[in-house]
Amino acid sequence: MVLQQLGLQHFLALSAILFSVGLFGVISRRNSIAILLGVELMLNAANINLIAFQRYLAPPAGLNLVLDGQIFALIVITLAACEAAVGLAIILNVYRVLRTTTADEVSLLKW
Amino acid sequence: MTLNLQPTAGLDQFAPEILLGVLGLIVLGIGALTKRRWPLAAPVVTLAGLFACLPLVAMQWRHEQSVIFLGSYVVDDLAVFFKLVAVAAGGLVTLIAMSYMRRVDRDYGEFFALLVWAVLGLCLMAGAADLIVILLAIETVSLLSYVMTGYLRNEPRSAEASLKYFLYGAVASAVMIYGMSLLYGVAGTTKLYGLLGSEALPMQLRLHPSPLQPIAAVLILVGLGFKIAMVPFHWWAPDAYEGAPTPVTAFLSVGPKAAGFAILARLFMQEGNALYPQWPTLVAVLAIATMFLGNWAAIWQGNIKRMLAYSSIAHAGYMLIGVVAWQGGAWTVSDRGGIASHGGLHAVLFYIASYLFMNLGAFAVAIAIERATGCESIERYGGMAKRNPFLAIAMTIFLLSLSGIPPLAGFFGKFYVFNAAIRGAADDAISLSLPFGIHVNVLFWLAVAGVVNSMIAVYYYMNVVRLMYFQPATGLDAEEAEHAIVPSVGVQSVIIITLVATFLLGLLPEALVRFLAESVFPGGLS
Repeated sequence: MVLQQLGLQHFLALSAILFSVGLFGVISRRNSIAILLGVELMLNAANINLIAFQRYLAPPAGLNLVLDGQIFALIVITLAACEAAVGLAIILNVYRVLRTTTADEVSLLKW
Repeated sequence: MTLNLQPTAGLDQFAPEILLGVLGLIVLGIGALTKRRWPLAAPVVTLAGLFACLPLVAMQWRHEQSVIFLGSYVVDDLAVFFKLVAVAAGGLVTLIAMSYMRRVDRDYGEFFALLVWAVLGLCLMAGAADLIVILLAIETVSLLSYVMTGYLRNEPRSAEASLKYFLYGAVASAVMIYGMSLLYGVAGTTKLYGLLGSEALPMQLRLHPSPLQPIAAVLILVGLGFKIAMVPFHWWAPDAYEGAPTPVTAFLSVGPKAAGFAILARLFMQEGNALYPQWPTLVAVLAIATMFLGNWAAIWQGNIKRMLAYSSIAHAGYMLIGVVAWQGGAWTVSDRGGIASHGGLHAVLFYIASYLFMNLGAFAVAIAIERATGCESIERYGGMAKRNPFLAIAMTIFLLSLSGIPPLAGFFGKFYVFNAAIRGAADDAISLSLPFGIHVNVLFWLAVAGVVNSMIAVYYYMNVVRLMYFQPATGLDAEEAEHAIVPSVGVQSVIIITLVATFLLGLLPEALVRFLAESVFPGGLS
């Protein structure tokens, strides 16, 4: 029952909030891994958008592209995993060399 | 445009990409098997493969657009141009990297596999016609760039550069993906070209006017702006360029930047694209900021790689002038063989071709000098004219070309871009009305900013020339100062190739202009 009262705008609002939370985390956190977590939230906000649009705005019949959004979301999930794998490897290497993962303290390169 | 609903139809037109994918695997295997016994095996196979790829790509230059794989991938002249740039950049960087990587890392075969796959990613960016493919291609290039930037694992600066590049890049691509999800909602499809229409139909956007369109457009611009190092998304560039191994820096300054413009052209430079009609004004403002910031910051740099990084930001600004002025129409060949040239898109393409050679040439000289002096400081260029006259004259020519002095390639790159802007300004193509009745002819001021910036840039480019010719070598003992600098064979051949190309594009620009004018680009450019 409740689900039927939910409209597209509710999902868009949810995803916008999630995106903002993620962006806020990226900006305010200093630890590289926490920044990575913020990025994951932003990616999942995009996924909510994709699935919601897929559900509510199915393209006109005959175009036969009804699964675009679902596939897009699946690919974004896969991408997020790849990005986390590469990112964690880079962070691990930085920790090995510089003994810190805090973005502020990694500052050999400047203006 | 031809269309086939068989999922595998068009596989033959995908041959260059398949070759690159397989080549990466082969190089990876060779690198692992030969290790130190035949250190040249991996780069030589890479070079041979990339060389074999060139004719395969060139054969696709057929003045027609064919959309393959159910509308998700497009093969047309625009894609061919950017693929040629990507493969050429990959080949030249392989030549540069051969001896450099061997010095810093004994088991370096895998580096060339990463490079080949990055070139593959750039080719996919050039041909992507579906938001999903665009995203995958951009991420392929990005992830490989992060890894290549941090390739010197034990070097703190390299590790730090890869971390910063990764964090900025991850955020930028997350923002872009969010924008793409909104764009999908607005358009109802991820395909850039409609599947049903007989002609290229840029995303059925006209059907769904929605307040989400400008938001989606701006968010996607963030992701692309990151790739091409557009202000204010350029912060990663100086750090990543300085910390990365220098051949990787050379690659990053050309490859991803060019491919970013390919996607910009496909998504935004389309006739009747109602995605966000005001985007040229927004990009114009950012282009002016990009040029001024890049050139201003470059003046103060003491590190050659960092200086070239800021200079590459400034060059992205010049290219953006052409992007803003794209509505000037296509370059055409008239009946009498004359060429009418005032289109922004073609000007950008010419600029990218000239930038490819002059910038890679400058990086090749920088690598030769870095290897000899063991240091990236600009001060160490003192006395270079005596220590190696050839390197000094080559660097002078590349820097003159970068600052846009005729008769070198960079001059015509800037000339066509500014020309496109001035032509557009004459029609007052993009105007901005401010309060108090102030009317701004955007393209005119854009051209003025470009010319002013070209003059600022001469200062820091010529500073290097001044050091090479009029300053004695510093920080060396007498014996070392006399010691000649001998670049490796790979670096030498890159310098010669890029020198020839810089001169050819400057002395005979008609050849490339004719090639571009005869090409057919999508999106109703007429």
